[in-house]
Amino acid sequence: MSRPQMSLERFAALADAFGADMRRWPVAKRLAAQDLAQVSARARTCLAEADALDAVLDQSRVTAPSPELYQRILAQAPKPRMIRLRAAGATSARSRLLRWLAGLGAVGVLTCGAVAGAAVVAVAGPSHVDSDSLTGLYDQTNSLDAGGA
Amino acid sequence: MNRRDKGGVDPDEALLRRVAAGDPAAIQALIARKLPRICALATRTLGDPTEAEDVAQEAFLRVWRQAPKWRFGEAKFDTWLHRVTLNLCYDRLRRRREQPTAEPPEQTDPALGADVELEMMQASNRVQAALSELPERQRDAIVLHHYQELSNIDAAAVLGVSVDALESLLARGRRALRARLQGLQS
Repeated sequence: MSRPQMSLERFAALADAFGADMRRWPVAKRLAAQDLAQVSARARTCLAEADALDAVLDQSRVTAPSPELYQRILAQAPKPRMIRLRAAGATSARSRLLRWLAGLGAVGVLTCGAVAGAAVVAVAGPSHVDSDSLTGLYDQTNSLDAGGA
Repeated sequence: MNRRDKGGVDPDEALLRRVAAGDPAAIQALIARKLPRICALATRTLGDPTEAEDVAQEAFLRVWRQAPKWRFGEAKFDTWLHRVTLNLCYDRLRRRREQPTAEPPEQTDPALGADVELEMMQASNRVQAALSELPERQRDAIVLHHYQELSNIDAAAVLGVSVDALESLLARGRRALRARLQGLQS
């Protein structure tokens, strides 16, 4: 498979824009550019011109940030204690939630028990109890008491 | 910026996760790693080291706020930080235009003394002055690509343009600088 080729004009435009260091050129263009630079003196002249401008730009110096700035920024950073407190707050909220759910569970169990008990009574007892039979039972009980007295 | 970069894993991801967890060593490491770059970006954009320090401080405030809710995989942290810093610089440049004050001070080095040092400082000031005279987008493209050494894709992402548009900005900016700085080229 043949490698892509590049025109001198395109090479010059890339050197103009991205400078002499071809590692800073778009990845897709690098191989073709390297091939051309190996065989073309004019391409190498383009690189030399770009390199001269790079060197001029590199004369710009900036002062290093002061230690005071570093300290100011560090002072504004989130404190581990605050994060621990937040984490602790989250834990206690989680504990409260768990306790609440546990309470809810206990109520649920009791409710289920009551419902289950009622169901057992319903199954074991008469299938239908009307108000008249209840009255009769009450009367019978009373008469027994009266007879025993 | 929700642009997913093509560069793969964010090299700052592990450190940023520790910062989000409040790890003091990670916080110091992040400042050490990013502060010089952010100060350099702001200094070259504003031409004033004192203002640049204020911008860097503001940028880090945003980092502390953003770190716990950072969405990994969407944008590279370094690209985002460059964007934030540039926006803070734009705010100051806009205010300067609205309320013009004295020219920004030339950078001085307290260690100056020797002639060579003086010449180097003068050359540096000339380059900075030429950069400051460029149209904003051309200057930003050169600062991001040449000085900050961002990849083409990352520099284009910070500026919100395509790589082709970045190439055009760089080419025009460099041509203008070459014309203005001819005396400095050996």
